[in-house]
Amino acid sequence: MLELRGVSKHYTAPDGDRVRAVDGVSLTLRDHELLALYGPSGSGKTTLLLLAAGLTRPDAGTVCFDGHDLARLSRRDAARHRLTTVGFVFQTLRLVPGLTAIDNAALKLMAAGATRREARREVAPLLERLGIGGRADQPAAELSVGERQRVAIARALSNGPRLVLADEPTGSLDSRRASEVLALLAAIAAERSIAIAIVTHDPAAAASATRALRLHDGHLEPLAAGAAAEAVEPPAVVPAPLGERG
Amino acid sequence: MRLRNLLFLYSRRVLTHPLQELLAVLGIAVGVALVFAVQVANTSVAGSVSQLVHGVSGAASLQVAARGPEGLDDGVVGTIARLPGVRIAAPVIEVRATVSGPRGARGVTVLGGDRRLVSLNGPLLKQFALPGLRLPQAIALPQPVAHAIGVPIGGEATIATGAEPVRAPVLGVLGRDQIGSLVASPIVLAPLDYAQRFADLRGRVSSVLVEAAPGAEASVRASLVRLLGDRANVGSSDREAQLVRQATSPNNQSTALFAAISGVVGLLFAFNAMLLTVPERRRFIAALRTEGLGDGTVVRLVLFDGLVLGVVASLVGLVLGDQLSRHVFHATPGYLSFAFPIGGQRIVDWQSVAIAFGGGVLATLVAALRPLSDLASRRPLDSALRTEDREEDATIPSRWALGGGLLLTAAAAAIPLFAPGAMIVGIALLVGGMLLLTPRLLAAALAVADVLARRVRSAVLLVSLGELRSSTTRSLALAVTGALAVFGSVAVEGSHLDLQRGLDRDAHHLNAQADIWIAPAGDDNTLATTPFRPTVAARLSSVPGIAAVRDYRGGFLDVGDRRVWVLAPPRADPTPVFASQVVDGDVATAQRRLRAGGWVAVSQAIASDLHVRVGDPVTLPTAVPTRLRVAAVLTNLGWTSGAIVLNATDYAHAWGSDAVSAIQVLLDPGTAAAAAVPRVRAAIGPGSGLLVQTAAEREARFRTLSRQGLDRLTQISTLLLVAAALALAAAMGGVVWSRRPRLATLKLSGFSDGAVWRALVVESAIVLGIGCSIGAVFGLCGQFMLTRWLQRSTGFPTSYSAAGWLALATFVGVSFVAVMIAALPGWIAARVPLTTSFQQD
Repeated sequence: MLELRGVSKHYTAPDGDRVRAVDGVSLTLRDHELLALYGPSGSGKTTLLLLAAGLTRPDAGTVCFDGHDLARLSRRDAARHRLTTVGFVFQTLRLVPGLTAIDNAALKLMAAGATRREARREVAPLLERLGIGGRADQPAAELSVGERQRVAIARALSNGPRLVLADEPTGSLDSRRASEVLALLAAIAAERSIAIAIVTHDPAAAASATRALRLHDGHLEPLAAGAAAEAVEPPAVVPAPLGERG
Repeated sequence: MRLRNLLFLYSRRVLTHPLQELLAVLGIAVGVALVFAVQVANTSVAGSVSQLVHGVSGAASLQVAARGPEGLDDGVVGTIARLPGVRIAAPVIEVRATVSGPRGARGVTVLGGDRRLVSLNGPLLKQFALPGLRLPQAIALPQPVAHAIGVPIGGEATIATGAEPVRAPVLGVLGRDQIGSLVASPIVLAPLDYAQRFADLRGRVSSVLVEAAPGAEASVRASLVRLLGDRANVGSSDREAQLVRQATSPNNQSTALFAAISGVVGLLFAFNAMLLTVPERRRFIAALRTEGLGDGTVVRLVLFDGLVLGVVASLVGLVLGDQLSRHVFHATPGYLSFAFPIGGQRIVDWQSVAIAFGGGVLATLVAALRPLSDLASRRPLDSALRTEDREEDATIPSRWALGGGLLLTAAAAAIPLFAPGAMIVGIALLVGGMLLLTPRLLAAALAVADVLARRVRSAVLLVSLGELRSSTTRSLALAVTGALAVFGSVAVEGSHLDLQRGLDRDAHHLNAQADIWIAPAGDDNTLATTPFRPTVAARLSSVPGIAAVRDYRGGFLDVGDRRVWVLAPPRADPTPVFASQVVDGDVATAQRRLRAGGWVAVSQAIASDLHVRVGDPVTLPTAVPTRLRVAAVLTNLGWTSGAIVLNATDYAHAWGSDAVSAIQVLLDPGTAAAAAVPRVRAAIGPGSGLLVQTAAEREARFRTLSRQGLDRLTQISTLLLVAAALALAAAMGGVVWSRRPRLATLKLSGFSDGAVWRALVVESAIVLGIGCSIGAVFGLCGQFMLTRWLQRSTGFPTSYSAAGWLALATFVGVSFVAVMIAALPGWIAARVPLTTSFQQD
C-alpha cells in the first residue's frame, strides 16, 4: 500500500547547519498493519510521518501509495488523496475551538460535501466507541486534553481512510486510556483492512503495535521484541508546560 | 463544501472571536459610513439646485440669461417669442434676497414669473395658478421658510434685495404635498411685475426660458446666439445646475478625498482586527487543507468569510452613514448660497449607495485574503505544523518589507519635487511605506527598550517586553492601528488647518482695506456681491472722523462653466491683490497695473480655461464685453469657481452700471472704527437696508462662513479620531482578554494581580507609543502632501505650517486614551484564576 524508498529529508537549522531529519529510509506498510515508529525526541519521527502523508516532499527518494509517487500528484489529486484515503492525528490535534466535539469530528466529512446532519450521524458511533459520546456536544475548548485527542482520532477515522497516520496519539492519555485507544486502533485496522502508522516515544505504545521500528538520527532500524519496553524513555504521560498549548 | 456548512463554520468562528469580529465590522462600517455620508451630502448640494432648476424650467430646454444683476430689457421677450421654432418664451426675475419676519431672516432666491412661466408646466410654478398669487402684490413661500421667519398665510414678510426693503403680503405657504421635495428650497415666488418692482428691475428680466418646438432646438439656439450672443448668455435651461456642479466640484473633491482617506484608515482598522485572528484562521484553513480540502474550496471559504463580513459591515456602515448625513453632515455649505439657490434636500442616489457598499465589500474581501497567501507557498501545509510561537515569528519583517518600505517612502518624498500633479499617488505611497516600515521600526524600538529595561531592572518592564516580542503579529497589529489612526488625524486635520489659515489670511487682507464697510444686509451678501444705488455716500461727507469714502464693486460673472466671484476695489486702493494671493506674476507690477486700469487678475483655473497667461489680452463676457489684459494669476481666493480682480472703474464700464456693492469708509487717524459706526448709521438713516460693519466684524463674519464651508473636514477628522480611539481600545481589549491563560501563568510564577496589570498597561503604552509616534512623523509628511494637493487641484489659498503641536497632541491623546481604556480589561484580566493557565485553546 505505502512504500518509502531511500527517502531523505534535510532541514537548515537557524545557525545555518544542515540537519538530516530522515536519511535514506525505506519502508513498506501493508493493510491490516499497525506500525509503531519509535524513537526519542528529535529522531525524525514526525518528519517521516509527514513524508508518508505526502505533506512534505522528500529531498531524495520516493513515497508511493498504491504505486503512485505522491510527489508527482497534482495539487488537486494530492488534496483528493488526503480527503478520501488518509486520516491524520496531529500532535497538536488541530481542533477548531469554536466547534463542538462532534462537529470537529465531522469536519472532514463536511469538507467532502456531506451535510452537517449526515456528517454528525456518521461520526456519532465513532465517538461512542472512543468513549466520548457523552461529551459530543461540548465545545472543543472545554474538553480535556485526552478527550480532545480522541476527537482528533475520530476525525481521522471519519472518512473511512485506507491509511491513518498518527503523531503521538496517546501522548496525553493515561496508561489505561492509552491502552484502550491503541487496542481500538488495532481493532479498526483489522476490521476495516486499513494500515495505521503511529509515531510514539511511549515504549508501551510501541510494544502494542503489530510491528515496531526504531528511528535514530534519521535512520530506521528494526526494534527487537521487548526492546521498547526495556528502553529508558520519558513517561507515557508528559504534562504540557504551563501556559502552552496541548 | 456546501454553502450551509460554510455558513455554519463562519458562525462558529464569529461566536468564538466575537470581539475581533465586532472590531472588524466597526472598522469597515466607519469607513463605509464616512464615504456614504459625504457622498450623500455632496450629491444633495448640487441635486437641490438641479431639482429647483427643473421645477422652474419645466418643458423649456433653453435659457437666455443676463450677464449682470441689472438684467435684460424685457422687450427682448417678445423678440424671442417671435423667432421661428419658439413655442414659449417666459420671462423670469431671479434675484438673491433676504426675507425676514418676526422670528428671523433667511437668504432666499426670489423667482418672479407670469402665466408664460406657468405654461412651461414646471412642478414648482404650477403654484402660480393658486388664486392668491393672481393678485399683483403677493408672494408665496415654502413652509420651512415661512416657519423660520414666523410669517403665516396672510402675514407680511420683509424682502431686501439690495434696493430699499419692502413689506410683502404672504398669500401662499407651499407644503410638501404641493411642491414635493422642493419644499426644502430657499425660494420666494412672486408675480413677475411685483418682483420687478421690489427688486428695482422695472422693465428688466433676469432671464428668459425658451421652449422650442420639437426638433427646432438647435435652430432656435442658433437664432438666440445671433440675436443676443454678445450681451447675454445663451445655453441650456439647466445651466444653473451645471454651474453649481462646477462650483461644488473642488469642495466635493477635497471632502471626498478626506473621506476616502478616513475610509481607508477605517478599513485598515478592520484589516488589523482581522490580523489579530490571522494565526487562528491560517491554522484552521491549514488543518482543513491537510485533511484534503482543495484550493478552490479554501478560496471559497475565505471569500465567503470576507463576503459575509463585508456585507454585514457595509450595511451597518450605510445605516451609520445615513444617520451621519442627517445629523452631522446636513448643513449646506453657507458660502455657496451666496451665488446659488441651494436647498436643504437630502438626495440619496443609487451611485452613492453602490460606491459606499461596493467599496466596503471589496475592501473587506481584499483584507480577508491574507490566509490565501499560504496557497502560494512552496510548503503549503507549513502553517498547520508550526507551533503558535513559531507562527508568530513568521510575521517578523523580512528584508523585502524593509526595502519595499524605504522605496515607497522615497518615492513618496520625490513626488512633490518631480511630479506634484500625482500627489494623491504620493500619499498612497507614503501610507504603504509607513505600513511596510512599521514592523522594522517596531522591532528596533523594542530592541532599544530592551537595553533600557536591563538597566532599570524592572520585572514588570521585562515581562512586558517579553510578551511584546513573543506575540509579534498582535504587537504589530496594534502598532499599525495606532500609526494609522495618528497618521490619518494629523494629515487630515493638519491640512485642514493649513487651508483654514490660508482662508483666514485672505479674509483679513480683503476686509482690512477699509475701516468701515457699508453694504446690503444679509448673510448672502458677505462677499459684497449685491448691487445698490450709492445714494447714501453723499450723506457721509459731513460725518466727523471720516477721511475718505470709496465705491467698491463686486458680483458674480459666468465665465464658461464657472460662476466667478468678481472683486472690484476702488482705484485708490493701494493693494488690490496681495503677495499671498499671486500664483504667477510680479505683485508690485500687478498692483500698479490694476490701479491704472485696463488690467485684470484672474484665478489659475480661469486662466487655464481661457488659455491666457500674464500679459495676454482677455475679453470678459460681461454685459458690455470688455477687453482687458492679465496682470497676474491668483489663487481662487477661497471661492471654489475662481475669482477675478479689476478696479471699480473698469467694473462699472464692463457692467454698464454705476451701482456699487459696498461703500468703503476710511477714518481719520486716531478715530476708532467702533466709535464711528453709530455715527455712520445715523447718517445713512433707518430703512436703507444697508448694514454698517467695522472691518473686524466683517472679517469675523468671513471666518465664520469659511469655517462653515470646511465643517465637514473638521467633522471627518474628529470622527476619525473617535474611531481610532475605539478601534485601539477594542483591539487592546481583545488582545488582553485572549491572553488570560498566559497571565495566569505569570501569576503562577509569583506575580501579583497588580504587577500583572501594570505589565499589561506598560505593554500597551509601549506598543501604542511606538505606533502612534510613527504615525505622527508620517502624518506630518502626509499633511504637507495633502496641503499641496489641495492648493494645486482646488486652487484654495493655503498656508502650510508643520502641525507639530497637533501631531504631538494627537500622539499623546490617542495613546493615552487607548491605554486608559485598555487598562480596564487589563484590570479584569489580571484577576484571572490561576487554573486558567491549564486551559487549552
